[in-house]
Amino acid sequence: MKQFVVIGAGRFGSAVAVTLAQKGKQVMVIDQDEQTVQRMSEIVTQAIQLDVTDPRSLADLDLGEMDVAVIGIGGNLEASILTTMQLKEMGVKIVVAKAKTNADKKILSRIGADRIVFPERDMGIRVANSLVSPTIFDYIQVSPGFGIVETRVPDAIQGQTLTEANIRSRFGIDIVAIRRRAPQLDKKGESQLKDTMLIAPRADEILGKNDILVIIGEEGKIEKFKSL
Amino acid sequence: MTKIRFFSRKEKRLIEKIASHPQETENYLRLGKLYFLNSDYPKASQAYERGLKVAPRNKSLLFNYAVTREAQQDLEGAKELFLEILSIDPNDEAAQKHLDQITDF
Repeated sequence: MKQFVVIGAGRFGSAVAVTLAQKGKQVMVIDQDEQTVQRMSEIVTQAIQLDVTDPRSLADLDLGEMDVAVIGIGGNLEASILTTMQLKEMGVKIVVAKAKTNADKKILSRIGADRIVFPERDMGIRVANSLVSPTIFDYIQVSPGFGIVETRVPDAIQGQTLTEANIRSRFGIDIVAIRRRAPQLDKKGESQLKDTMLIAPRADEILGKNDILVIIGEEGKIEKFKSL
Repeated sequence: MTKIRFFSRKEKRLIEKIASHPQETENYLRLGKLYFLNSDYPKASQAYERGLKVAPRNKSLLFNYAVTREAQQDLEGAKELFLEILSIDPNDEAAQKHLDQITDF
């Protein structure tokens, strides 16, 4: 099983750690705040109190076995840089660092960060997209002008198969997956929704009213598809 | 075909029961669940809403209605209902779990 370490458990770091833990992953959290460590220790595999702005303190931990390290130190670029370098030297396979500006990104990628995220900018884009398009539940920009979105099945193609809807030819976008929420009753007889994800759905898959489509394509073409 | 006939019979019987005993919340609940399982969420919601007029603090009606709203992607509506359940019973784990799932942290 993949092992993750999250360094700095502010809003970003703790959201990453909690989500990974909820998905059953082994997660270690390192933060300098005692209360944060206490709170996280109830959620993740291991939580350690350390001054994360002092990368020397990390040297005592054996983090080389970690598959992924997420650096969530906010507002301290110097600490992020030193921590990234140290984690790469330790042998961590993938280091994810947080940046605020493009200049931060350049520096972090030069010193070995494998992936750089802009949490505020990315979330801003996602929120704006969801506000402009209420039928879109999530949006990830793959590259400028090109994204992956989750959206409802437009009325016009509900009940059709993927072949009948002919989405690629008509709209120039691709259906990556269909998220289907099947209604059922649990052991107590209460309503529940069971999520099933049909990855690379078959051509004869019928598009249901309550399905969520995961589509990839140019933003303009996605807009056109949504307005069907 | 048998399944459709069974559904229609059950639906009819529950509607009749509600008409003759409008104060019995269990029948609204059963009818709502019947529609829910058939993915007819608007009708399920209607059944739960009618039941809640009779028993506004019925946790089971509130919970099943909330999950139905979730199914309809009305997450704000679902959230309000889960919060209402928690105001009645702060230890309701199922409601808390659903609420956590649909709330951004």
